[in-house]
Amino acid sequence: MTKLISVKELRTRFPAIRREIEQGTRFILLHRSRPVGELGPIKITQGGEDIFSFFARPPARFRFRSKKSAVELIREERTRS
Amino acid sequence: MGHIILVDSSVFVASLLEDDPSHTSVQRFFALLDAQDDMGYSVVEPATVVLEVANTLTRLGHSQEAGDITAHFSSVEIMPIDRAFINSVLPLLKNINLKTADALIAAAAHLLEAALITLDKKLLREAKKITPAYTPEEYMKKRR
Repeated sequence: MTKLISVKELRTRFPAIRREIEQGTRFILLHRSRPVGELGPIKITQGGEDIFSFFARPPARFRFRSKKSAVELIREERTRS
Repeated sequence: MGHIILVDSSVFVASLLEDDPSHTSVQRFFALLDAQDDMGYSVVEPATVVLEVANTLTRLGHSQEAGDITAHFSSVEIMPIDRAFINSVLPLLKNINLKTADALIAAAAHLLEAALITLDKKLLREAKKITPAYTPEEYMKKRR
């Protein structure tokens, strides 16, 4: 569902508006009767089946060896300049 | 909305490294999420995580595979590091003793009310100050 809402309404009714957004409502934000933007729930792709199954059972060509652990490799990645 | 999780780069890389001490448990973690599809898990990642996984594999000499692996992140919501994100993260930095790359992962999990899954003990300890954070083993115990 999409509703229209003024900036003034957003300021005064924010807790209720936030709850509606969390339940899936999208709002078109009006400023001086003109649409200036949209408010809505974060679009998060439901289900990560592809990524879960891939990393649960990586195909043979995606199995690697390293003397360092994953934590060590990522730590290096985050600290090297 | 189901469970939102943010999986750290260390977890993805451990599932690909056969010698990693957490290799088996991480694969069991992903298998559990795959099997519990009806629980509505959603994965969200800061853009840096995908690049870190790819670059780590590239540095190990597997640039072709690194490119191919990023395609498997297509079902993941990628969180951009934009101005809004920066403005939201700044107030959180004083609460966690982490370098920037780690801090933005903890902060992203906090902002999205996601559970952070990591193998990195320091990131885990500090992230817990602002967001739920677990090792893959801990998260599996919680979800079974």
